[in-house]
Parts: sequence; C-alpha cells; structure tokens
Amino acid sequence: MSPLSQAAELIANPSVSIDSLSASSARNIFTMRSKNWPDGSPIKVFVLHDENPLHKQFSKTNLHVFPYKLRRIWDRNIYSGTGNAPTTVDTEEEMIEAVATHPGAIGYANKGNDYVRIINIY
Amino acid sequence: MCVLLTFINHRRWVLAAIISSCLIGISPAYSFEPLDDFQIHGFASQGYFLTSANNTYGESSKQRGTLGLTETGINISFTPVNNIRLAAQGVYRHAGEVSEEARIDYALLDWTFINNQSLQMGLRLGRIKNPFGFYNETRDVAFTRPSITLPSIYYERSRNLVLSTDGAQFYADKALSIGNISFQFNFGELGDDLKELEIAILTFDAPGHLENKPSYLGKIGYESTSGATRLAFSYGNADMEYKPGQGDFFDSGDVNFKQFILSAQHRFGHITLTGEYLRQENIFENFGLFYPDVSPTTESYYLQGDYQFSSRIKGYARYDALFLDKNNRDGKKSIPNLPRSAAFAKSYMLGLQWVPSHQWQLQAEYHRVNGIASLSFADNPDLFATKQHWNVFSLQLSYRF
Repeated sequence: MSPLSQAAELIANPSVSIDSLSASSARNIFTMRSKNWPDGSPIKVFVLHDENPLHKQFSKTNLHVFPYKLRRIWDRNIYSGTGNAPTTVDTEEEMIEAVATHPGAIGYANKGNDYVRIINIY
Repeated sequence: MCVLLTFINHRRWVLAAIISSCLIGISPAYSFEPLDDFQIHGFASQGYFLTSANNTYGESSKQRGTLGLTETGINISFTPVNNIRLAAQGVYRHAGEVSEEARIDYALLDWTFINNQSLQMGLRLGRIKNPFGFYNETRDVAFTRPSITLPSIYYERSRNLVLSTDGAQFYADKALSIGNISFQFNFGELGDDLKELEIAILTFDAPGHLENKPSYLGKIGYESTSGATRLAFSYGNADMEYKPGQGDFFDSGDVNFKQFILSAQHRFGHITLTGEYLRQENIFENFGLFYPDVSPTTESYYLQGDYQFSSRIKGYARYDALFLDKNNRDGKKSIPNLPRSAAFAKSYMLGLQWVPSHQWQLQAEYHRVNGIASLSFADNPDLFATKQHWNVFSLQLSYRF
C-alpha cells in the first residue's frame, strides 16, 4: 500500500475535549470560519505548505476539499482583512510538536503520537 | 492599534468605531493574550507593459515599454479578546500617470457575534473592502487575480470609488451539506479621488470635482464543498454629487450608479471556466444646459478558461468585452470630445503562469484589443491620438509572505 492511499490523521492538543468531528465541522475549522471549540476556547490551526503531499492528501481525502480552495479562502481572509490564515510549519515533526504544545491546537499527521489527541472525522 | 485606526480619516462614525474598539480592548472581563494570535502578511508585485500603440500604466508604447505598475502591501491582524479581531493593511501602488499613492487599504474591527460550527455572523466597522464580483476585495494582490490585470468589469476608471467603504459591514456565513452560503452587506462612504471617473463622465477635466455620498452594496455567494463550483450575485448603489468649480460650465450635478454582477466558476479536472457579467445603470442629472440628463447602461462581461499543465504551470485564455453604453456599442452615435473607439473595448488574451514556490509567481500575457474604453485619461491625455486596434505584451513578478 503506498503512503498516499492511507488517510492522514486529524490531531489536536490534549486540551481539546472531543474525540470526533463531522467533516463539515473540520472544513469550517481549516477554512478559518469556526474560531472556537464547543467549550468556547479558541482554535489554533496548523498546516503544512500548499505543495506538501501530506497537506494535499489531508485536504482531499479527509476534508474533501481541493487545496486551492483552502488557499483561496486564506488569501481572501488575510488580504481583505476578513479573517486569518493558519500557521504554516515546514515538516510533519514540527506539526506534531506544535499541536502537542499549543492549547486548542489542531493539525494533521500521517501518524500521531502519545502527546497529541487523535480525532475521528465522520 | 487604536492609534493606527485614527489614520484612516476624521469622519465621526469611524472615530466611534475606534473608541468602541479601544473600550472593548481594555475591558478587564476578558483574558488578554494578543501575541499568540498576532499575524503579519504582505505582498509585492512588479508589472511590465509593452504596447503597439496607446499607453497603459505609463509610456508602454515607447520602445522599451514601462515598469509602471508596482503594488505592495503589508497587513496585521490580531484578536485581543475572543470573537473580536482588529486588522489593518497599508498599500503602496504606482499605476503609470494615474496614481502613485500610499493608503490605508483597510482598518477594521471585526466582531463575530454568532460563531458556532455551522454559522458565523458578525459586524465589521471601519474601512472595509468592497465585496464585488470574485476579485474586487483583493484587486491589488496579484496572487488573487486571474491574470496580470483584471478584466473590464473591474473598470479601472472607477477603481477609487469601489475599493472600500468607510462604514459598516454585516456578514454571515452558513455551512450546508452541499457547501457554503455567504452574505455581506456594506453601508457607508465609498472612496474618493474620483478624477478618472469625472473625466469619464464629463469627457474632460472640468474645474469642479465629484464627491461621494452614502452608498451601499452587497454580495451573496455560494461555494461547493470541494471548491470546484462558485457562484455569486453582487449589487451596488452608489451616489455622488458634482461640485462645480470657478467658471464651470456645469451646475451641481447628481450621479447615481446601480450595478449588478453575476459571477460563476466551475472546475472540470484540469480546466477551470470563469465568467462574470456586469450591468450598470448610470444616471446623470442636473448638470445644467451643457450636459442634458442622460442614463446610459454599461455592459461588460468576460469568459476565461484556465488549464493546469502541472501544479506549478497554468495557461489561460480570455475574451473580454466592455460597452459603455449598450445602445451605442460601436460608437456610431457620436460622443462629444471623444473618438468612436472610446465607446467600447473588446479583447482576446493568452497567458501563462508559473509558480516556482508558494511565495513567488511569474506571469506573461499577450492581449489583442479593439477599442479604447479601458484606457486611462492620465496616460492618454489626447484620446484622438490613440489607435483603435492595439496589442499588449505584459509580464509580472509577484512575491508574498
């Protein structure tokens, strides 16, 4: 099985108190529309670069969104003043580290570890 | 941030927005962790234009062409308390003889008063970009445009009018199983410095000037879940008044624009088709004996096809048409002070885009144009010296962070 045929995992900081999210809710988080977790605490979103294979795979397979749509929405947000873009990290290791250390953080990885919470997308 | 916002202007209701933002910012009931959510981004692009005749963004018809289009900007955004965000962007833009200016592009307080997993609703106060068609909100940011310069529905002569609103915006965004529905409504004063628009209306630079009056515009949009389909309907109603100068031919006239845009985009595999149609009713009244009341309707549309050769290389082609008065498409009914070709602009364009990294972009385009309705007056002071048929070769290098 090639690495690209398995789904990536949605990961969150252990402070996040949910185990699953609908695909629609996950899309609203990664398009920076939903800003808070159900308990009201702020969400902090981490992504890899647009060209990263894991980013493309997560967008298409887990979120069912073309990566160019995410880029278009983030660009509109930051250059028209209507919102924010996620924080970009360079590697999967940095992603896991960032999600493990920032309260309210969400991101994705091929494989999480004990320091992050795995969230199911339904 | 409070200090930055006061730069935008002296109008009272903007000050009210600033004061309320400062008050919310110092309210002790909330925790204060601004640095964690502080964002800074920017962009810069440089265009090159070479034309067979007629000038665009400087002396493009001279042998070496012109580097007369430079656009740069930097913006900040931070969230002092949950659901309140402050954001501002400064832009420097040089566009040939038309303008060279640094301005506050937007400076706003954004209050999201409903924010759950499927619905966001809120108010923005301050200077807000105008949601109009697919591209007006970010019209100075090369990475967000479909080509080096925007199609004619984003009419350059009225760009200062439509850039932003000083006032308020109500917005809502609803997630459905088939995608998102978004709605924005702006109310307030549109932009000023309307010299190009004044000449477009009066056909020469008269002693007076145009002043804007409270106006409104709105947009409703749909985007499918995957992002492959986008639809939008935009509507605007702009009022202006002509203030006569000393020894003016014209009385104090009233100008009203009623404008709508239909926008559609769909992606089929590697091919994306985008089309937008604009119709604008222009009402000119009370200018006096030398300018009888008239109400022409402007029509403009384009269809663009993009082909993605690879994730880094894209080719595109476009047909674009603009008719200032739909009952005088070919300019056969005479227009005082202007050549017939000033009534329209029809063009074919081919372009190529290369994105070597997510921060850089290089584009090259070739346009064949029939008509001069899209030319600026500042770059072409004598429109009778222009040519009806002309070609444009252009390049643009862009960077962002």
